[in-house]
Amino acid sequence: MTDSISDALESLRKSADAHRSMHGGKTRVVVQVGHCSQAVGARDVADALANALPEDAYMVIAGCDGACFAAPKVSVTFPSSDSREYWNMSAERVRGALNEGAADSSPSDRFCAAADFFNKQSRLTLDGCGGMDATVIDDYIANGGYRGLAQALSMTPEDVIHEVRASGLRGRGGAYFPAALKWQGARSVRNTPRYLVVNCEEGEPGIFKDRHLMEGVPHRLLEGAIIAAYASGVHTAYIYINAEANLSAERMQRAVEQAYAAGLLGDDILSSGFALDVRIMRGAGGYVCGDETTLLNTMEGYRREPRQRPPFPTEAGLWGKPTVINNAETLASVPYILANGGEAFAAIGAEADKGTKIISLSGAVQRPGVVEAPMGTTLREIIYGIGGGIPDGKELTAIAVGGPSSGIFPASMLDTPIKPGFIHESGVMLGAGGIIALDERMSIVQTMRKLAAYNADESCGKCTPCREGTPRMVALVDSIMSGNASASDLNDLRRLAELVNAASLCGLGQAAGNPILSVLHFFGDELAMMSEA
Amino acid sequence: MSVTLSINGHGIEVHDGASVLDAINQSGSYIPQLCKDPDMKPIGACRTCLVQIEGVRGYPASCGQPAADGMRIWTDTPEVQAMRKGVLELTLAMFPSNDAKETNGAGSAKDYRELSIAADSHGITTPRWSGRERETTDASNPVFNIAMESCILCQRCVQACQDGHQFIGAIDMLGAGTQGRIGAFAEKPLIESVCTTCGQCLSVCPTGAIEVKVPPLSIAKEVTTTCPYCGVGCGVKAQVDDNDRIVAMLDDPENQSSVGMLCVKGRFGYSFVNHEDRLTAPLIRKNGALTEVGWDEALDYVAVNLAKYRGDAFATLCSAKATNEDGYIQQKFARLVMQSNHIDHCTRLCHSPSVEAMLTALGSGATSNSYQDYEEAGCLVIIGSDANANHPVAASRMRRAVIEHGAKLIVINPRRIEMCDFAELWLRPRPGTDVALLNAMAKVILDEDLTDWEFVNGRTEDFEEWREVVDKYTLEYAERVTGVSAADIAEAARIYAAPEFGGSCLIWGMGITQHTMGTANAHSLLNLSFVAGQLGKPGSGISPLRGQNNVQGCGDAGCLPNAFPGYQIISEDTVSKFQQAWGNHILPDEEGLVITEMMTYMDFGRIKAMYITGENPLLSEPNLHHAEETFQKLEFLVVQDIFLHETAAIADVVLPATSFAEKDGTFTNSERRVQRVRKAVEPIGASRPDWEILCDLAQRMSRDLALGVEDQFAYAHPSEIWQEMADNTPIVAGISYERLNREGGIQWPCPTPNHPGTRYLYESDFPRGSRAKFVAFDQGPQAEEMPSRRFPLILNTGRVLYHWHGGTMTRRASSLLARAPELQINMSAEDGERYGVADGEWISLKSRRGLLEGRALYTDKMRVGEVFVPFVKLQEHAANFLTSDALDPFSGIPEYKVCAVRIERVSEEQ
Amino acid sequence: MNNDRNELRGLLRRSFPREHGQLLPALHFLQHEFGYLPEWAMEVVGWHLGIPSSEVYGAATSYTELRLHKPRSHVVRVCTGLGCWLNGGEQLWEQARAAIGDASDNDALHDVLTLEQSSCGYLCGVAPAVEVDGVWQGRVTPELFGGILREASR
Ligand SMILES: Nc1nc2c(c(=O)[nH]1)N[C@H]1C(S)=C(S)[C@@H](COP(=O)(O)OP(=O)(O)OC[C@H]3O[C@@H](n4cnc5c(=O)[nH]c(N)nc54)[C@H](O)[C@@H]3O)O[C@H]1N2
Ligand SMILES: Nc1nc2c(c(=O)[nH]1)N[C@H]1C(S)=C(S)[C@@H](COP(=O)(O)OP(=O)(O)OC[C@H]3O[C@@H](n4cnc5c(=O)[nH]c(N)nc54)[C@H](O)[C@@H]3O)O[C@H]1N2
Ligand SMILES: Cc1cc2nc3c(=O)[nH]c(=O)nc-3n(C[C@H](O)[C@H](O)[C@H](O)COP(=O)(O)O)c2cc1C
Ligand code: SF4
Ligand code: SF4
Ligand code: SF4
Ligand code: SF4
Ligand code: SF4
Ligand code: FES
Ligand code: FES
Ligand SMILES: [Mo]
Repeated sequence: MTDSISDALESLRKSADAHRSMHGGKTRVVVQVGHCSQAVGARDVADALANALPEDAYMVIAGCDGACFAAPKVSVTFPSSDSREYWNMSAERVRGALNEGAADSSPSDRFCAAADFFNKQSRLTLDGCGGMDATVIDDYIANGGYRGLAQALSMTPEDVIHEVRASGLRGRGGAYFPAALKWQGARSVRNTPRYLVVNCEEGEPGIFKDRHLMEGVPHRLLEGAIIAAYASGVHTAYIYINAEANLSAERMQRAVEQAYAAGLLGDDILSSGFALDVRIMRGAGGYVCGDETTLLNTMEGYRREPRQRPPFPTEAGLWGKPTVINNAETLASVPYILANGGEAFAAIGAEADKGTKIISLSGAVQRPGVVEAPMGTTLREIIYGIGGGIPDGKELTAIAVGGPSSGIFPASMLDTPIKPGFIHESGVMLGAGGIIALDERMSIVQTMRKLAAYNADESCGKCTPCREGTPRMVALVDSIMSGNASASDLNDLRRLAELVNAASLCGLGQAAGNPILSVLHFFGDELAMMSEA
Repeated sequence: MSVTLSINGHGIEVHDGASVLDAINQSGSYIPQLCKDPDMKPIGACRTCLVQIEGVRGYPASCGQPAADGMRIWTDTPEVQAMRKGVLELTLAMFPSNDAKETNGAGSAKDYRELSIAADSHGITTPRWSGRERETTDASNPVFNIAMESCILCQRCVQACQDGHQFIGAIDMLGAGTQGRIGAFAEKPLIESVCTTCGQCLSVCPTGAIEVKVPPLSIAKEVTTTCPYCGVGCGVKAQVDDNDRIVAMLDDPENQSSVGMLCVKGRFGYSFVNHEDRLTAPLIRKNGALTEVGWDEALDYVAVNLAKYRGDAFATLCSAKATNEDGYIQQKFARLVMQSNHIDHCTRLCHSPSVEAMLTALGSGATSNSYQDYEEAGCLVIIGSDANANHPVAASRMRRAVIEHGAKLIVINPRRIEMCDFAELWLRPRPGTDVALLNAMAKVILDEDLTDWEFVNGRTEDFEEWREVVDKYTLEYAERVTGVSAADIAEAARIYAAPEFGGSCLIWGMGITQHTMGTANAHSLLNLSFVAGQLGKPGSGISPLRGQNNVQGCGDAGCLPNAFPGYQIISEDTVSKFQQAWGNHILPDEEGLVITEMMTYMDFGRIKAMYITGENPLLSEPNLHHAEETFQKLEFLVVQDIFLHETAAIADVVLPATSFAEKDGTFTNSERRVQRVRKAVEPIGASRPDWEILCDLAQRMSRDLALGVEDQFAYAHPSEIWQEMADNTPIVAGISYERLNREGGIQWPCPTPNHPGTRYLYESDFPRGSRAKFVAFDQGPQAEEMPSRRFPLILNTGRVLYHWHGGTMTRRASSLLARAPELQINMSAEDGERYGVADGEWISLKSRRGLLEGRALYTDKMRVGEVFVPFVKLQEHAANFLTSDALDPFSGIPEYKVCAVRIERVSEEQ
Repeated sequence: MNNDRNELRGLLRRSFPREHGQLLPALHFLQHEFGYLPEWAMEVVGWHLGIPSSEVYGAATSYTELRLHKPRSHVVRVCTGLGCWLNGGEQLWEQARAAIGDASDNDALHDVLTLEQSSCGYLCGVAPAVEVDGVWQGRVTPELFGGILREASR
């Protein structure tokens, strides 16, 4: 690492320690406030704590650690370094929590069982999420933050790209395109300025991991973005955040301001001479907004419609300039790779599929939340091992993996490992990593209809196959459900699903048939029975 | 560079940058392409152009795939055909009733055009799906409907209205998903939007969802010619039906001036051609009444009478609507047969100040640049011109410069015109104060050292004299005189002198010329372009936007009192040159009179006979009551026109000419482009082309008077006339019909047969020599007649998009009349209230000279104290009964843009 | 803000450069100011940014988060995504529909309350979720929801 750069980082670490040492010898109270936890009272808890806080304690606002089931969550560390965790905390219970004597903690059995929730994860990207102060930069730096950036800045951009190629990192937005290739692609286009867009639209139902990252470890995302910009020869980056994710936008905004103040953004980053400006933009709703070309239209002030590719954004993206578009999670994985080397990342996960994936786990599980597991982990390990299985002794009937663009698995497929792209040829993909466990409370066909209807509602209407095809799929499903469908309708349904997948303009339509095709594959007979009637 | 690939196994070579679809089309094999317009970018919406490409997954849309070397493409495998068929079936299922050929009430098959062809080619006979609900039809536009029930949401119309062509943006795709629809702002009817009825959307619609109310039944042939209305000179393709009537006008993507665009007049304004009012036989006044006669009787009668007035008692007005050949013959007739140089045309009432100033300062009176230069400029200044209304297609190209290329637009106009919506800066001077404004801008350029010294020192003269004058024009002073904030004036000067890229163009119109300060205004503009050096390089230049379709050509052809064709000023040399060219007969050798002088001479009775073709002074002259008295004094008046208009009505003889649609010839447009006019239909009634009538007349007179010039008027075809003109006119010497037919329009100067023509002038020197001349002017009185207690308002006259001058033609084009059936008196709401007239009330406007009636229109376009009325005559009312005949001393142009009026209520509604 | 075009134009001038890319930010600003996008205000935005009003409207109608009509005094969105549906969202939706009622019964909420479905509130971990006047709540029980609706009706 070149001296000037490491010196710059060192002085940042010193000032971070200095700030933190102000709290030396005090009780540290961490409240996890995230989009979800705040919806179940985390704010009130924080406010109550703030008022009740004794002289010898200080409070820290962190993001969530992903244990949605335990939210709101508070952890207290006494000077004695004796520490306690409080789950499903409420404003009423804060006083007790603050006194070391009191034994008011969560029921131990739940606590132990739940230990697996974390033990069975491998958290690189989520490391420190839920423990570190998400509203200031100091905790992140004190915990080794921006080391990856310092490392990158003391390498040539080409070497950075090489390192990331070695890590095998693929895009976490769902398409799993090799990150290094994308950067290289934009870099090789001799047309400036180039742009970086961080895709934090996260408009896909059942997925809440990018929010989680922005709320919990905003600086890790930012660090990854700066590295990507450096590698791709970009000097202006936009962080494009979902219109509804106000908390995420708030925390990212702060992080950006702090980074400017700390010389981690601006025209001489870590006195390396590299310059980067970062601006935050808000979306305006709709699944298709997350599609990279639609996102560009939104940023340029046009209708919410995808653009035909080619040209690909790396050739001609924002304002026709070469543009790298990466998902939030993709970039949040980058600091680890630079700090610990591509090999370290490549060592994790399965043979061909490197690293970890953040999963949004929900539906019929004991422990819904945001979890990080190596590629290659089976659905069983995720749903039962980490998630604790199905509550109230119910039966797992199906698993919706990868959201509305993907398919539905029967319970029998539990031992399928997660990996990029299709995990089953019937149209089931990992996508952005949403896993929704289903039990008998909801039938397969109902589930399929929900996903199909969702795709129809979200179709932007630009191209004919998707606009006209998706509603007709729903209609056919309805006739099947209402029992007055013929066998030929079933055929029509399959053909239509295949047509829409094959002929549509953008990824939404190109995957809109998957829920149906997978159900036809796994539950074909049941449907046939329904339609004979 | 070219690319070689194979389509269905057959190799083909296409140009670099071509798409796979281009390649397929070039290969001659058919594939649907419903959302891809040949002249616009791919959209990718219809998904009917799917193909298979070896090595590429799935079924890519060929319109979006760049052709690459060695690509192997298949359009006809069973899989891909099934795929396209599936998409087409879904497309047809968008219609409430969805047969590929739906039989409507009348039982006749309703054809969905490109979609039906695609369906047929994919063997679709019966509906695969049931149809679906669609939004209702928008029938608010009088000319065409937008029918959602046959719309496939391909978005071509949207693209055509927006950045594909017109940059108007009246319509867009609205909503999302199946709710998607084509519509205007806030679901309002199209007629309430900014829609100009240009029909571009209609021209690209693949299904006929956008269609004129009465579609043509048959098309027998298509003739490529040139629009007869304005000086932009758009190419049109006239579609003629079995009954030899023009039933549609299509745009011409090949035309270099209009690049595939048309405005409402060019596309829908043609129906005057077949209007029942067309003059079909010669008329002679017999005991008071105009009576139909045969050609022999008419022409002999004219010949006998004109014989009495040869020499100074005769004057003629040529037509800027007629062809170059018509004009050339008319001036030749006047000089050679009538021995008079009293030859002029409507430019006198139009750009004569511009021409006057440009001749003095540069030595040539034409627009220096091309529409192409607008698109390459970094700054456009539009001053005293309402290009959106009056040069619509040029305006579209200006908007492209702004929207697509980021040029900065500065509008200088007392009235808020549509262009202001696209402007970086809108300066709103008081009428008649442009000299002060422009001098102040020049001073800013001098003071802030934005001067182009290289240009000033190297290529101009009299700079110091001029500088002394403009030094007086401080921003403070200019602000006081013009009412424009000093900051804005300075900003405008900076942007103009130092655009972010490219050069700067000065574009002006009648707001500059039609003032007693007209020539001063024009000089001030030229000076500005000199000091900033914005002349003689790409993306810069000076553009007096020429008005009539052939006003440029009319001057070029010598329809001027002081010059032979090609601006060869009357002198010993030129006179002898043309004597030799025209058979060694004597020619008058003194400059003749201009229109406005002719009027005075008519008043004195010194001009006794007049021959007017294609012009209607009794609507276009100012102060019409007086003008009519003057014309009544003529002993003999011949009017040659296509309609019996106000002037014809008082003539002794009226001769029926053919319109542009019935003759061959050439027009020369505002960018000096000579373009072919081609006969599309047979002459209406007994009408004959102007040149032919004049030649016939000339020969009769020559015989009667033994002038021996018959051979000088013996032509078989207009091309012979053109050739004679070219042979004697250096600026067009290299242009021939043969070239025009082969290459399309050519821009003069074009001195030799292998010269490519000239895009912009003054690259190295000027016709007057190596240096352009600064000519200083001071701001004079705002106008001759200013508001008073009795006449408190300023009347500003001009045009509207849908009418042409007095309206002789456009009142007879139903589509245009439908868009603007009444005279609208534009005023600010404040004035309306002050003078107690309601918005939409039928009111009258009075000046010292006359009155008119029309409908009050409250609009934020007008400033308090100013009203605007187009000078078209509607319901017998016209602005020129009110206008003042004060003249600009240098060019003799009337001050049409300022006179004092008052608003009055009228009791009984019309 | 009242319906003063010039006032709005001034505001826009100060906060949004005249660039096409400012359209979405400007529309967000309107929605924030008015709770929806008034026609006249969209015209002013187009005017300021140099974008034809039809194109402003075309864009506005394509984004689901932008409102073209004034909402009623309260907006309740019930998440009906998979996770919520499974965990009681369905009941909440029925409950809300019932509470809204129709024009006929007068103690119904339909004229004070705009009821919408959300396809996901991104609270899957704490399902079921509802949003009331822009504030999301998770683990919503029928009782809790009943209270919320009663709140709204006051
Ligand atoms: N639709 C249509 N198109 C036409 C014609 C037509 O009749 N109808 N006629 C054709 C002909 S022959 C011509 S010459 C052209 C004319 O084309 P334009 O020159 O555009 O015609 P006008 O509408 O007469 O006036 C132009 C503008 O000058 C402004 N103006 C008035 N006074 C002043 C002033 O003191 N200073 C400044 N800066 N501006 C002022 C007026 O507000 C008006 O907007 O149009 C041609 N095109
Ligand atoms: N108040 C006011 N008055 C103005 C102006 C203004 O701005 N305000 N503008 C002035 C300007 S710029 C101009 S150019 C004049 C225009 O004034 P004019 O030239 O008098 O007006 P037009 O109506 O165009 O006259 C053209 C005539 O040619 C006829 N015509 C068309 N085609 C042919 C053909 O092929 N052969 C023959 N023989 N005739 C044909 C038409 O029927 C029409 O009668 O008006 C001037 N008057
Ligand atoms: C309908 C649709 C929705 C999408 N939504 C998102 C999203 O919310 N977030 C995201 O990062 N990528 C989304 N994508 C993928 C993006 O188009 C793009 O591939 C991705 O942002 C690239 O980043 P990555 O390479 O780091 O994954 C979506 C794609 C489609 C077709
Ligand atoms: S596939 Fe669907 S979402 Fe994508 S462009 Fe076509 S209609 Fe729009
Ligand atoms: S007629 Fe012209 S302006 Fe009107 S909608 Fe069609 S393209 Fe746009
Ligand atoms: S109206 Fe015609 S051009 Fe426009 S979208 Fe519909 S089908 Fe296409
Ligand atoms: S712009 Fe002029 S030339 Fe072109 S179509 Fe319109 S009127 Fe004709
Ligand atoms: S909030 Fe969560 S559970 Fe509810 S719908 Fe959204 S994703 Fe599903
Ligand atoms: S509670 Fe924060 S992610 Fe679930
Ligand atoms: S022509 Fe290629 S998608 Fe329409
Ligand atoms: Mo004119």
